[in-house]
Amino acid sequence: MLVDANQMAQGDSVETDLCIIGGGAAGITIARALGAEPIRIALLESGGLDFKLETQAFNAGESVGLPYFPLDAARMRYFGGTTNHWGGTCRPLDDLDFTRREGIPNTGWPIGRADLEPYRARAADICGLPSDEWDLTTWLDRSPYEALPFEKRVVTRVAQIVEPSLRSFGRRYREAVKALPDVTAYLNANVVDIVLDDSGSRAERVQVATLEGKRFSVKARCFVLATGGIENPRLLLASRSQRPAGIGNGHDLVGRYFLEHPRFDGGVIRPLSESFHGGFYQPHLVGESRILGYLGLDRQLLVQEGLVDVQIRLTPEQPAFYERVKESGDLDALRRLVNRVRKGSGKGDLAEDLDTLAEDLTSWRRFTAPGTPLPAPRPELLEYIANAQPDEVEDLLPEFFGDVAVFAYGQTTNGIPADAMQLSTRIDPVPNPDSRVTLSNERDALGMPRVQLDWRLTALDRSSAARTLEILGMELGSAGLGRLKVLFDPEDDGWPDDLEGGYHHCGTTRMSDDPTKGVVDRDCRVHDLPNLWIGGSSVFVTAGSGTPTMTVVALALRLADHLKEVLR
Amino acid sequence: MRPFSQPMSRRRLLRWALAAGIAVAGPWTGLAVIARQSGTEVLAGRLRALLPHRLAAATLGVAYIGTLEGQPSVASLVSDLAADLVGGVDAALALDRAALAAMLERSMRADYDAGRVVTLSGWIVSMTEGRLCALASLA
Repeated sequence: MLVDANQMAQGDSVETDLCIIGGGAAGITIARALGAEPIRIALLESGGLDFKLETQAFNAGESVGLPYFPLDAARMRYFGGTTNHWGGTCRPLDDLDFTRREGIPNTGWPIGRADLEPYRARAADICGLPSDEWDLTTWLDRSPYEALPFEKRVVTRVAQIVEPSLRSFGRRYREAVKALPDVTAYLNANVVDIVLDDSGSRAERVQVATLEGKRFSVKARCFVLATGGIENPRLLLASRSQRPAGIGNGHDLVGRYFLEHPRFDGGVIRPLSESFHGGFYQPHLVGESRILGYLGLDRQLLVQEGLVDVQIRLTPEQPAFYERVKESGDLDALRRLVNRVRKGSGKGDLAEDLDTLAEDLTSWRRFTAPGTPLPAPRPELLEYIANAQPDEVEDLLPEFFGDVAVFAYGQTTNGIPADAMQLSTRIDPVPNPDSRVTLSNERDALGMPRVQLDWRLTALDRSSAARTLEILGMELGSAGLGRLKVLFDPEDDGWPDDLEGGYHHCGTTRMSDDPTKGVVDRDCRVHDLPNLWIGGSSVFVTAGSGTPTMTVVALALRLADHLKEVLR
Repeated sequence: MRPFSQPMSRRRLLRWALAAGIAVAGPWTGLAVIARQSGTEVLAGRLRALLPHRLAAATLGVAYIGTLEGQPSVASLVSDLAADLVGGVDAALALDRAALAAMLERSMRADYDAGRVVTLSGWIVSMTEGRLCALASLA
């Protein structure tokens, strides 16, 4: 059932078994996983079913560290949460991501990959992936492209990409949540305080406020806080009426260890080999799955050299003629026609599009000599080709064969060789206690303190990126594939101007068996409260070499299993 | 007057022998040096000719020289570039263009395999390429 919190009676008190704060990937997954159980669940979502500027404004905050996205644009505040602007790239964390790494401080989860393994296939399905296959060779067997032939220190890994229409958990699971008999999802319900019982030893209720002025409370046996890696610490820190440092913050850990996946254009490759196409490293369909390859260092080498993992995505800079082809009106005509065939009707003038396409596909006719029994090229054209440079001839390809045919060729086999490959360099950074979310002196429309983000990185992050690129450069040279130029100065203390995050907010309520080192235990329970759990990427110890969403969902499924036992 | 037939002391004999040696061998040694220098220059020219973009290479070459303690000579660069070849410069002089390019290609790959690389204006290049570029800058 969906309830607009604005329709609640003023001062009302809802009683339930489980209160889930936050209707994003984690909150929706837990509600659905427990939906068949005889457990009453209240799911509190700050926003409605669609984007609203007034609600989104609650996310505004100040950034005082490394340059970061505006905080009210970096996450979404309506049903489905940040999946509403999710890029859809998925890869689960590897063994090494969970391991305590010698020489890399603050690493090591209390759980391992094996703890999440039973949930991985379900998590992939929930995220909208048609496959839970991550092995490179399996994908290479089916992909039309080949991986770059590195044999030593550089490896290719595979990520999968969720189709855009499946990415928003809000749109995808709205009806499913609505249909769950024991689940009530309250929309426009902003939790402004977590209140403990008189002894201060248990969470008793949460105070809820709406923008229209309604206030009510939700009492529950158990609570799950699942509002994302920035809002989770915000609510814990802001709930200070009984604990001045905030809830779960007895060791000044809440908000610390803020992790992102920093990325920037770290280098560029000039291919020397005609076989360097990089098609495998672009998003492409293999069966029903959209995948892309990326590069990284061999795990053993990472350990040997004490480096954090760096992932490198390749973006081709195609020859100018091919870039022009990709933007051509002839291709637009083709796209409109394809849409028309798929949907039965569509935009554009059908006859005009057909004419455009027919003319494009018969471009070669312009270059044939009239009156010949077979389509023979004009002699002056042959003479031009004989005297031209290779790139001049290349420029004429669309003129000869048409934009559509050249584009189709570029999309099949390994396609048009790239002039250069830009290297988008993404780091799994060192967990750093000085990188943190705190409360600012500003307050939002409901009186909640706004957040202040101080995003920081370390010298090891920078040197790992530089070393990874250097090793990649050596492997390219050794294989005769190309040469690599590093685009940033590893000796410089600063970061490149194009540094940005990946909208991955992790680590701010990190997991540890030791209450002095983490906010939650291995079951995601806040150490000093028996009935408050945390869902989402804020419990991550490291941001990891993969992407967070699948792991967020796997952790949510695991937490749901745990809560099933607790609430039995 | 000293008699011509006076027996020569051992030291004197050595002195004579040395002087005669210089007188006889001197011009030949000098010619050999000139021949070697000219061989070095010839090889340097052939190596430079393998570079498709000489100006760009020279720019990197200046950066490469900046990483060294002293200014390298053309002879030392050529000698280093031919060092992997048994017979060094002389053997390299006997190679045709394709074989010379193949020799450099082998050296480059060996450098990359062994981690003998240098970063020049951001480019990660092998020591062989660094030397080749330096040669271009000294033309």
